[in-house]
Amino acid sequence: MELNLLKELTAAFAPSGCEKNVSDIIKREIESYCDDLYYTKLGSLIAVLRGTGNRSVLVSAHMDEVGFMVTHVDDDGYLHFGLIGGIDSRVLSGRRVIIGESAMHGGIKGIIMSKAVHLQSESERKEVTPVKNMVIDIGAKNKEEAEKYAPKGTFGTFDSEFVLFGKDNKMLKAKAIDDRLGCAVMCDTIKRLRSEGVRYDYDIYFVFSVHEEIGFPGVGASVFGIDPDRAIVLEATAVADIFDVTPSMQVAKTGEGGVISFADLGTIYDREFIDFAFATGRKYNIKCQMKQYVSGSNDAAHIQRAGLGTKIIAVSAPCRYLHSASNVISIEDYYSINDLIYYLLKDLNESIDKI
Amino acid sequence: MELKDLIIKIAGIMSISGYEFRGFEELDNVMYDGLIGGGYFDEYKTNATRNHIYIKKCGKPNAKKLLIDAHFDEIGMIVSDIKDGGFLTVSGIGGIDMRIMWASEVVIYGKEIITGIVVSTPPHLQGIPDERKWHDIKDMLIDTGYTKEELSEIVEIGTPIGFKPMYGELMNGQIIGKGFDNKACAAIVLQAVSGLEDFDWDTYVLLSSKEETSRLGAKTGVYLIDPDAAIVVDVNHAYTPDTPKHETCKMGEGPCISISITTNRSMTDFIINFAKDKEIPLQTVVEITDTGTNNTAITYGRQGIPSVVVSLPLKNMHTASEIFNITDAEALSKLLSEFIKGGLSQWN
Repeated sequence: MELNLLKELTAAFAPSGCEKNVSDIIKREIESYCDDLYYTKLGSLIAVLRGTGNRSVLVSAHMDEVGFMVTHVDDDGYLHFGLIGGIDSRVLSGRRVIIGESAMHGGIKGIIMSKAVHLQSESERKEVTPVKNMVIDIGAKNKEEAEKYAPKGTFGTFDSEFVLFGKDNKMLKAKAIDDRLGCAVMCDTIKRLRSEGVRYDYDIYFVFSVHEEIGFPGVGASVFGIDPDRAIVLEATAVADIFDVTPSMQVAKTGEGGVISFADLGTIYDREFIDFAFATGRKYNIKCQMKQYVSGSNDAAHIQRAGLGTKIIAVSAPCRYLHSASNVISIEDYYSINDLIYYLLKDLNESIDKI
Repeated sequence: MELKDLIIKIAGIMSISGYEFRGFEELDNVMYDGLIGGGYFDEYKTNATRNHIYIKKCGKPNAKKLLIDAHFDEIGMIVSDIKDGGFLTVSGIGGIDMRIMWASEVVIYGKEIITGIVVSTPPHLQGIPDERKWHDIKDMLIDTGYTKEELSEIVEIGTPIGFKPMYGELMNGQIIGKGFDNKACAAIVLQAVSGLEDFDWDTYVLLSSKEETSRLGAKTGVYLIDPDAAIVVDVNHAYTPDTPKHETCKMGEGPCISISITTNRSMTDFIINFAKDKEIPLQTVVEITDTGTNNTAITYGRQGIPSVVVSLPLKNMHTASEIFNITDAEALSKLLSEFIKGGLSQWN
């Protein structure tokens, strides 16, 4: 499996509300493999692989990422901004950002300013700067020039390279691995299933959703038209697998495969479906692990509650430094999640009624 | 060579205080055929404190000596311990700002050069009680993606770590990257002096060591050179919305000259008027008793050396995204070369 698609997807500029850059890439990748491909009214992209029966399984990943929006341009040409999604203000100072559009489409570079350490008072050095006191410098001479490129309401994301590092380059650092990794896995799965020419008893709906990072049911709205019998959410989950963190709070370990949650702050997942996922992992010798800590929330909450409800699990990539410019994962986990989803869909064909 | 390219080349060299010598070969070859080999300078000297000194002779008998100081070291970190799971703890070298470190990329200069990511795991998970406070750099971790055993083959205690060199451009010719403090000025000085023809003073470019920690390089360098006058070239804080206007200069309005008790007033005044005549933009900043540069080490060196401080406006000093304006850099280079050629012998 190549990393080119994941690289292109993580580089794409798509804070919540601005997902088109990602959906364009996905559409180009999978168009020729799908039986049906359409956009919802909110911009989610839905790809359908038809089966032979009348049931359906939904697989979803969100296309959006955390980011920024310009709220005010001051007289000196600096951009004041607010956050899109939950970003810890401590990962902002000094980071590079892209403002406006993706770098590919002529977006402009900026830097989240940081008062030089020399000029900070003793107490300032200890204090976390609130976002309302931060500004982005794009090099503009004044308000007028800045507004030409980045008027109020302009989107922004982190500017962060795709870097392989660590022993044998087995680790990856990029922005927006949450949740472009899920998008990449879905594209890979669609191609894999179609290139083998198999058709299962059920239709598979692959939902590339919008607005996950702002917590609204962007995906739930997509699900009303589908009413799936089973659902699998692909996500990235924040882990803290570091020696000085209490083991029970590490959440999961990078390199140990997809993280299957018993529960998070939004959802209690379907226990039989969870057991089935672990059984599938064991059967095909694919690494997967149970999430150790109840934290976070994702689209599963909205999918589970849509219509009459559905049986659902989440498979997440264990990701260090989530919602920062430097998401870090193990490449092996990308491959093992890919395998797990492929075999889950395959074995569900026999077992869908048993869970 | 374009000044911008020269600055980026020199700024990209690893020269963390105490490791200024590691990048010597890269520095010496920064211009075609080498700074000495290409005939840009006449002589190279170093000393026990690892200064790099490039000398340009005027070829005139009994010529006076001018020292131009631009420190070559930069801030960084060194490894203090290798932890389980391939995480490193560090000590800071020079003024490291904890507020800009989380989730940033660093380069670890071990037996191999490897990438590190600064850990930004929320403190409530790390068991650090107060979430709204920054903690000391000793609590910071760097993720390397190796196991402890693998990492111990590459890295040892004392291995230097620097910001990742990533150069880019904002609007209006503003260049971003690491190490511009003070290697942008080192490049400006090398360019200004290397092209000199028909001048009256032998010119000693002192690329001094350890300014960020102790100013040791300037202290020994001034003793070694024993100049008749000196110019210190360093960076200066440019205005940003969270800084006081009267303590900063303006970006894009030319280099600055310091007005201070520790600098020579007559030389300062002469340069201000000289710049006016030559139509080179020059800002003034008042720094009553401390310019925050090598200037005090030089002024109080030997029997006392008349010196001035000229500087390049810089934003985000000591970060991986320092910003300067290329027009300021070009004006500073021009001011230096014009002053050495046409001003120095008029002043004294």
